[in-house]
Amino acid sequence: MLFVELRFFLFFAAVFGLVWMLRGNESRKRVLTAASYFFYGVWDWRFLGLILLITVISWLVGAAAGRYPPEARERKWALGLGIAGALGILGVFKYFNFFADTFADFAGLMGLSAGHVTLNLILPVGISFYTFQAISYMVDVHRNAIAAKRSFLDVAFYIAFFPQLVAGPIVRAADFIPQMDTARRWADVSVRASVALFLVGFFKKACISDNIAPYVDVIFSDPGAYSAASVVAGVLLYGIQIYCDFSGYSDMAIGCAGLLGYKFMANFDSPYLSANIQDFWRRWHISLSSWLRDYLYIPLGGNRHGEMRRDVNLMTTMVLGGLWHGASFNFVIWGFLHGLALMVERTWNKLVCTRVPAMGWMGAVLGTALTVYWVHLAWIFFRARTLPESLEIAQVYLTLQSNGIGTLPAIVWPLIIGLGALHVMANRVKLGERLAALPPNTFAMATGALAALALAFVPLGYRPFIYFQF
Amino acid sequence: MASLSRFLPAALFAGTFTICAALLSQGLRAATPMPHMTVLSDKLAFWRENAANYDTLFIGTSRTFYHIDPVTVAASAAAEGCPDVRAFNFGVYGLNGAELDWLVDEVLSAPGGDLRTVVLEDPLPQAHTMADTTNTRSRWFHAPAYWRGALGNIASYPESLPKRIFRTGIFVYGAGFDLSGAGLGAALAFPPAYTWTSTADYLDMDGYEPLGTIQTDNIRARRAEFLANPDGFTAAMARYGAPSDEAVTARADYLVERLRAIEARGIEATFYVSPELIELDRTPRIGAAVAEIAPDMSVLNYNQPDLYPDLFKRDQWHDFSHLLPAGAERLSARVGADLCRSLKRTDGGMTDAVR
Repeated sequence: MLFVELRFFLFFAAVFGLVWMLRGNESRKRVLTAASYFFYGVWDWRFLGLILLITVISWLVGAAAGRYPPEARERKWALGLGIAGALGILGVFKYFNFFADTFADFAGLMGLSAGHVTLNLILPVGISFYTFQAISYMVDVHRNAIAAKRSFLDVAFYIAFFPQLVAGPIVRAADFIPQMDTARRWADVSVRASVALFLVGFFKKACISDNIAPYVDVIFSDPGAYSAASVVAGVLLYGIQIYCDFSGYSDMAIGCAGLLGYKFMANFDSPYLSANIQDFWRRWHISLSSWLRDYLYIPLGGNRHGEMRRDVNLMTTMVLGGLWHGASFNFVIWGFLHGLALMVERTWNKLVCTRVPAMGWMGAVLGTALTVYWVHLAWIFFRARTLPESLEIAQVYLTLQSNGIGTLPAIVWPLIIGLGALHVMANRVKLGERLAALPPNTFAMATGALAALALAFVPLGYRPFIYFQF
Repeated sequence: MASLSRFLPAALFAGTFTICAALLSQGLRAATPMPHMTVLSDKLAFWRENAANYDTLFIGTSRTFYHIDPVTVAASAAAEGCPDVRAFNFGVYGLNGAELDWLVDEVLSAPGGDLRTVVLEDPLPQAHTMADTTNTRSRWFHAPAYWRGALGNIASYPESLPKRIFRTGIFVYGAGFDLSGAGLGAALAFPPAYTWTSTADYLDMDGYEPLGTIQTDNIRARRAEFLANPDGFTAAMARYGAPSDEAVTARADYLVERLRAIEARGIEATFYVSPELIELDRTPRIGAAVAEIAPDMSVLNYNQPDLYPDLFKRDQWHDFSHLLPAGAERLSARVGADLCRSLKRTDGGMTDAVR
């Protein structure tokens, strides 16, 4: 059930009506939890067992934290076992085949014989997202950032809440659980802001991402057949596609949650206007990058133990962040490229920026162009199915040489330029906020007209969100 | 009053959305060229280029597309004494009433035509699934300009009232879907990533495709169902001549109106009823009703096992609606001969058709 489907609108209308009809906080949470399990079960009811298992583990770790004092060994053991359990489930379902194949191939290189053992498992939708949320709960409880929830329903609701369940944003326990403790009040709901955000997200996902996806698909399915200009256009279009797909989903998730009275953190902030890679990671998938920072980079030591250790921690975080997206060396390379850029930037900042005067706006434009160039080089590895395919596209992207003669329709370059201009404009003029500031009746008519316009630009055909696979 | 005003924004949203969607859909439709439709577009483009090469045109559904081989028709007609028959098969699978009306206008207005005879098959009733209602072709023919034809098709088709209501509901869904404008802007603004080159081999065979030449999931499924259900053949044959309370007069009127419109252009119009097992209780009666209403008109009514037993042997059937190529050849030979007899009678001032 996708946010852009009619059945989701019907589902959401029913849940929305029911929740606001109920008065008690507990009954609302029960309804929302049941609706969330229904929402998840529509994909495949067998996945419900997994999310329940992860919820039980999280609840038990919370119970242990509530029972033992902060420094107690039992508490640490419970946390360790809980995280190991959650990651174990993630590992089996997402990474077993990858590591088994890698081990067998490595053994083969060493002259040893190791048979390929693979499990025929379906990757459960959104497992990476709710596993990280579960870890967030266990760690936050362990750190006493929040009190452990005695109610299993509360933990289940936090992990399964349907707007963020399958593709984020990754909501921190410390941010969300306090919101669960009091009944949401309709008077506090920013209806117009939430509807406007949903509409903006719908437009990004359905009207932009889904329309350019076919151009990206043909380039990445047979890059050798296309001219260098078309391959570069395909790579740039993929950058637009994944941004509009994922940020559009996040906008819709935040809008849905907002209409139910809950606030999620923003997940994107005009990432392609970043002046450098560090800035990019403050603007792209913010809920993941801040999660990795707080639950991985800083626990690894962060930048507290010298530059060498900082670089190692950075690279470890980025490579694991890449691997979080999928079990493939392409994702490892994607993370490595970002880690490498972060290390180079920090060295550059220390060696050059402290000694040379700043270049002003020219420096900012140059920095942004370089960042966009590097980010899209990394996207090649993120999108391509195999390493040889990635290298073939990367070679064209870097050298601007190709023997292919196929071309994409002429519209793609004006499209790229236009969408780039829209990205800049949207950063300055917050369209959603402007829309939400209209008087109620004007807002209703404006959104009605915009919804009709958006519907006309929805391509017909099924195309799921890219981030569901992660 | 105050409580009602709470719903004003929602009403304004719905009203604005509906009006804007309808206006947008009409504006975008006007700016949108007709999309490519498999078989239909290819045959129409071919016809516009080659109309002068043919004097006989078969227009109908998949039972024309897969059943009428123009080469065999011409050879059989020649053997019967009509050496100059040059036929083209304009069968399009799933052709319904609104599509047929439009298609007849299009082919008859093609330049350079030397058309002498049009053989028309009864079109299908409106689609009966939601998926079939929202595909590119169906959507195009759910625009307001085609509503009259579609509703006339549903209203005249000899079916029970609940079935007609159901088909009307599906039609309303299709019309609403088209009026919503969904996807029209996207199709207009974003050209396909690559140009699809169709392999229309049937154009080399004057529009005929032996069933099974191109396998689709639907064709495979129909075949598998037929093979797995031998009793179904016997049951279908038993429906021939069985009493039915479905009135066919309205359908006959509907068809005669279309046949007369062709004749008004100075072209001989012939009504063709294909062998079809699942329609044995319906289409033979429609053919008879047309012959009764328009006794001067040629009616080639082959869905009659007692008259054409050679066409109703189980091993000649691909599925419950279509003949295998061998059966199609046998049918085409009979069509050619009957068509020639009909032409001779017409030329001689007699229009006593095969009935």
